[in-house]
Amino acid sequence: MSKEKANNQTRFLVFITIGLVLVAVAFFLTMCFGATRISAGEVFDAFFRFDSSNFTHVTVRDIRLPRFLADLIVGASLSVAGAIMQGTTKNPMADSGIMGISSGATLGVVIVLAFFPGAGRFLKMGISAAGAGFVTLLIYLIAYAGKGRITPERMVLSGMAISTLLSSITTAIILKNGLMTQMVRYTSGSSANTIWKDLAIAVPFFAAGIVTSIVIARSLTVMNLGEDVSKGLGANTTLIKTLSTIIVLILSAVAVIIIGPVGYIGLMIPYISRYMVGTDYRLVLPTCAVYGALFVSIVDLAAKNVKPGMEYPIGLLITMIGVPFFVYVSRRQEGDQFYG
Amino acid sequence: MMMEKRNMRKGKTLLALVLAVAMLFGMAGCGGEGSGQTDGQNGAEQEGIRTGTGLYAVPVIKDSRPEEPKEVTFTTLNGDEVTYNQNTRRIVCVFGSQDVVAFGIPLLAYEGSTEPVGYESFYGDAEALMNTSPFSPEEILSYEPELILVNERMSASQIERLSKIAPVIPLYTDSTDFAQRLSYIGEIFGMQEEAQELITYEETLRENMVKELKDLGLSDRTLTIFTYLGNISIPPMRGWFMNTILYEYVGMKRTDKVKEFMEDESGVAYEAISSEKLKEYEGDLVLFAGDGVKTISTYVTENVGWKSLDAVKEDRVGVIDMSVYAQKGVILLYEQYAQLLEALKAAGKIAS
Repeated sequence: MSKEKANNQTRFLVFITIGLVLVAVAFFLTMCFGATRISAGEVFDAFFRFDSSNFTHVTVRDIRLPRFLADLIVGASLSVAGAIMQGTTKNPMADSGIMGISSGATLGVVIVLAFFPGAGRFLKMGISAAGAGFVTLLIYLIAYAGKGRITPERMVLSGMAISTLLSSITTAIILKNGLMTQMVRYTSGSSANTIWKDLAIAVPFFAAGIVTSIVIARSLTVMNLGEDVSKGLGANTTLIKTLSTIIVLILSAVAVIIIGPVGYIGLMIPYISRYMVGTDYRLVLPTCAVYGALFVSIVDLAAKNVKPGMEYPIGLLITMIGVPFFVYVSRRQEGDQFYG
Repeated sequence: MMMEKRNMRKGKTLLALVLAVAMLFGMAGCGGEGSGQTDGQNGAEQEGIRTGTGLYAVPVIKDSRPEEPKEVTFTTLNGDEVTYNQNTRRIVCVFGSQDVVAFGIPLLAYEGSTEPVGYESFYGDAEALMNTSPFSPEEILSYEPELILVNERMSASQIERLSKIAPVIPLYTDSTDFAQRLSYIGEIFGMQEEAQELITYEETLRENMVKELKDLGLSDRTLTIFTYLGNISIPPMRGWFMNTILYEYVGMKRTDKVKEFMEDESGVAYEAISSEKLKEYEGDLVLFAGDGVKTISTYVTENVGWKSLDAVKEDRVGVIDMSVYAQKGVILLYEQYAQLLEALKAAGKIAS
């Protein structure tokens, strides 16, 4: 085992432990602070001596807990999806928002709002996921339509083009159907309305996406050496790319459906995670999952407490953090070092 | 050759993609008009036959103006002097047609932002303008109007642009004082008597609603209207006519917290109320205002904060379609009042 590899593994254990402890702290703070202040004793009672007629207990168990779990899922999903996208496209700026996948899911939601206003959660999620899938397919088709093989640059460019096109269609539907307020709310991003039913639908997809990503983590690391080298080492690059695409699609859709089209998480967290633990995807992906979850839960905690009693859109806060970070990354030439 | 075939295949793929996108555009184009009126009035109601609720529909007024042109000079609400043919039938109404057509005045075209579903008989052969905000001078010109009616907020520069086509008169479209709105239109067309008839109708409707609520024992109760536009919120005081009817015309009460929320214009409209705090906004009576529908979204019915409301637990939430209140106009009043009365009865658990 090389010294650098051993060093990265040690760093991984340290950072993962710190991350998990911070998630636990965020959990405690989230349960206690929100529209109203709830004491630690009442939080304890809500979990272990639950009384359905006590609205404080209901608040902890049926409002704050599912919302916190939704934040964890969204953060982990977008971060892992971003890391995989950046790895497979070899582009440090790749992220489900920038690549257009979020715009596909958003279009799906707009179609539901405009044409199926009475639709339930499941239909909304289904059409939104179909929108994300449609965009992913389009990105690949357009990237493939050119001469030569699919390149990271072509993927990003086709993603950006499709994103712009779909945003225009989305805007047209919004204006035609007077959905401005609803869509502003949705695109601002919020997990405030999460209920257990949302999690019941999202968790199987989330779990499948995360588990599969960890299973292919080693192959992703090998893929980072370049396609020719990977093939030389016996990796089935087509299979890995296909699986990666499906994982990114599922995880992005899960996140967008729960919280809305929130960008930058998939850009920032993988970047920071690589800085922490190196480029081995077996270490990067779990780090991304933990720190992505931590990041979203902390931002949501802040969003709830900007004006207690009202819900401040989490997406706005994340964008405020994400834009300077994006500028920083785009200016940093060394960004390429991770993609050799 | 192989290369050409491959390129053709790619070309077909791209063509298919373009067609798919075009279909999506088509769907956008064919979308329903989300904010149209609903459940309009039937013919009998339009003739003013009293209904069991004590509310009755707008009286049908015929255009009594002579056909001969009559040039008059009128001082508009902006203080401008406008000279026009008072008996003209060539009128384009860019905003506020719901009052004008009540006089039986025929229009060439009216604002196309709302479909007059249920009120077609008032509009006759009038066409909906394709462009209202912003309006298109070319489209308006195509109707060769002799008079253009616009909203009171239209800027002087815009009025000047339209004046090159025909005389322009702004209407009291923001005002919630129907006596002012209707008597002004009566003056424009020399139909003061008809205006008075409509004003009396509006006053009677209002008085009957007040009496009805008093008889039902609902008038001194506090009322909260919730809505869902991505989050549960309360429609702001301004912009939704049901608020004017309930809290100003009929004099229903609301809690201080609700009043503060509704009238706070410093924040974001439809600010999302935390599920944890929703109960603090509950009044004695609760209405839910659907956006274009008269149902409560499942996102609301499944919300834990919503389920904590007493009105929800006791199954006494009245439901209205908020889009019915997006416009003000005397022809709309019957439907607007009747829907509120029905919803208030449900909120008070009073059988219809």
